[in-house]
Amino acid sequence: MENITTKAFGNSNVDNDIAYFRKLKTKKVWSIIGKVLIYVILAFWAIGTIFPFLWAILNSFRSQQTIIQSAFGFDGLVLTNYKNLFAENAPVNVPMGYVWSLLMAGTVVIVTAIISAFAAFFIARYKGRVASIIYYFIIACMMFPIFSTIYPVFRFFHQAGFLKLNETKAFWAVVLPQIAGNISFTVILLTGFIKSLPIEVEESAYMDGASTMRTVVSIVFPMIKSAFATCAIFIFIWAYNDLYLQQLMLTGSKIVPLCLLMTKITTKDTGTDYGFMFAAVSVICVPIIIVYVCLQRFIIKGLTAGAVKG
Amino acid sequence: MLYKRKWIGWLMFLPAGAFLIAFLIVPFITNVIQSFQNIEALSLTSGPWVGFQNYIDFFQKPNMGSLSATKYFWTALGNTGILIAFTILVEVGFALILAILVDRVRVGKTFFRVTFFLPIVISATAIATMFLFMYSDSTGVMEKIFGNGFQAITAKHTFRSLLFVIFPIVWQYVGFYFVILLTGIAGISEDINEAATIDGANVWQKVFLITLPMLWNVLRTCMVLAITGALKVYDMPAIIVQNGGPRGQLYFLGTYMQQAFRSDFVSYRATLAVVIVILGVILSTVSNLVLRENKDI
Repeated sequence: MENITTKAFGNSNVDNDIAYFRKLKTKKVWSIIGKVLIYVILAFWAIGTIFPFLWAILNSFRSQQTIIQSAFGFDGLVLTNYKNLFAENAPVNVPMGYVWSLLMAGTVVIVTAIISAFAAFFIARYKGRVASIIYYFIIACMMFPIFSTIYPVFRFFHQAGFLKLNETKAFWAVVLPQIAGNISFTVILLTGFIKSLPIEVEESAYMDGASTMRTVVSIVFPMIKSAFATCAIFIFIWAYNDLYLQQLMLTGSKIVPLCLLMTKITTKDTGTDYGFMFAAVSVICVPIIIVYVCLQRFIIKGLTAGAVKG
Repeated sequence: MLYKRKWIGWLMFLPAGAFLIAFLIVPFITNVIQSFQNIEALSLTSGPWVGFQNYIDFFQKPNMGSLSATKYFWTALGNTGILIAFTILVEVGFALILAILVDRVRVGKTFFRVTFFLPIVISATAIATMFLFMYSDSTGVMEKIFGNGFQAITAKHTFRSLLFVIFPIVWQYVGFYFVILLTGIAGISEDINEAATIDGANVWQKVFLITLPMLWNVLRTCMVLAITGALKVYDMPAIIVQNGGPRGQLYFLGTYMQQAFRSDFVSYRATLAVVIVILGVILSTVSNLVLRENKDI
C-alpha cells in the first residue's frame, strides 16, 4: 500500500511541497518587508509629530548662545531660562496666564453645558413643529464663522465700557461670545443623546409626582453624563486654545491668558531671547501633554465623536 | 400626558436662544444692514442707504478705507483656496494612508494613535510659535535641513513661503482625520475581508476594492470638515506671518478679516463679513452636493 502511493504520487508530491514552501517563503519575506516598510513610514510621521515639541523642550534648557550657534547642539543643562521666566520682573506672568485660561475655559464649559442641556431637552421632548423649526435655527447658527459676527459684538462691548484699559470686565467680552459660538454644537450633540433615552423612566418619575424641572435635573441629566463629558472636553480645548477673541478683546487689558501670552513673547516685549521663549512655550505645552497622555482615551474619543456628529 | 405645559419648555430654551440671538443673529443682521449703508467713521452706527454700492466697490475698487486693500481680499481668497486643496489632498490623503497602515499593524497601535493625535490638543498658537522659531534665521534649523542661506518665508518665493505657512496647519490636523478614519476602518466588518482573502484577493485589491469604497462616507465627512475648517484658519498664519507677510501675499480669509477690522470704514467690514458668510454657505453646500453620501453602505 505504502509503495503504491509513493510510486503514484511520490516525486511530484515532494516537488509540489518544495514549490509550495518556496512560494510561502517568498510570500513571508515580502510580508516582512511590507511590515518593516509600514513601521518605517509610521515611525517617520511619529518622529515628525514629536520633533517640534522635543526640540522646543530641549532648547528651553540651552543658553541663548548655543541656540544661535548650532541648531541641534547640546552642552549641559541650563536652567537660566526657567529662572528668568518665573522671575518677579519677567515680562510675562505664566502662572496668571494659566489661571486666566483655566478660568475662561472653565466658565465657557459650565455655562454652555447647562444652558445647552436645557435647550436640547426642549427640542428632544417637546416635539412638534416649533421644536423642529428651532432645531433648524440652531443648525443654521453653526454656519456663522466667528469673524462674520464679531465686529458688532466688539463694538457693543467697547461702548459698554468692557474693554477699557486695565479692566477685568473684558473677561466677559471673551467668554460670552465663546459660549454663544459653542451652543449650537452642544445642543445638537445632546439632543441626539436625550432622544435615545427611554421615555418610560421620565414617565414613571412623573407618576411619582416629580415636577418637570425635577425630572430633568435629577433624572435626565445624570443619564447623559457621558455626553456631557464629550462636550466638555471639546468645548474646553476649543475655548482654551482660541486666540482670535483674546487678541481682539484683551488688548490693553490686565488679563493675559496663555494664547495671548504666547503672542507677547514673540513680539518685541522680550527682545529675541530665544531660550526664554522656548521655556515659555515648554511651560505652556508640557502640562497639556501630560494631561493628554493620561486622559488620551477619553480625549480622542470625545473630540472625534463630537466632530463627526457635529 | 408628559410635558404638557409648554411654557416650561420655552423657559428651558430661553437662555440658549437669548445667547444665539444676542451674539450671532443680531450682529449678523447689523452687518447686513450696515453693508447697504455708507458708514465711514467708527463713531457712527448708521449712514445713508447706498444699495449694492458697497458690494460693487468691494469687487472693483482696489482700496477701501484707510488700511485694507481689496486686492488683498483676492490674495486671501486664493490662498484659502490653495489651503483647501492641500487639506483635502495632503491632510486627509496622508491621514488615510496612515490609518490604513496603522490598521495593519498589531504592535504599537495605541502609541501611534496617541502620538499622531497629540498636536490637536496643543493650541495652534503654541505650535505656530514653535514653527516661527524653526523658520527663524537665528535658530538655523531651516539651514540645517535645506542648505545654507535658506529662508522659509521670503518675498522672493511667494508660493514656497505659502507652503511653509500651510505646512504646520496640515501637520497639526493629520492626526485628527487619521483617528476618524481609523475608527471608520475598524467599523468595516471582518467577514468581508476574510471572504476576499479566500477568493484570492491581494492586499492592494482589498484596500482599493473593499476598504476605500466602504470608507467613503467617513472620508466624505473628513473632507467636508477639512473644507469648512480651512475657512476658519486664523491662529497659524496670524503668528507665523504678521500682517499678511511680505507684500501682503500671505493673507488668508481669517487673517485678512482681522486686518480689515483695523480700518475705519465700517461698511467695508460689514460687507466683508456678509461676503464671508455667503462664501461659507456656498462652499459647504457645494461640498455636500459634490461629495454625496453613499446610502447603500
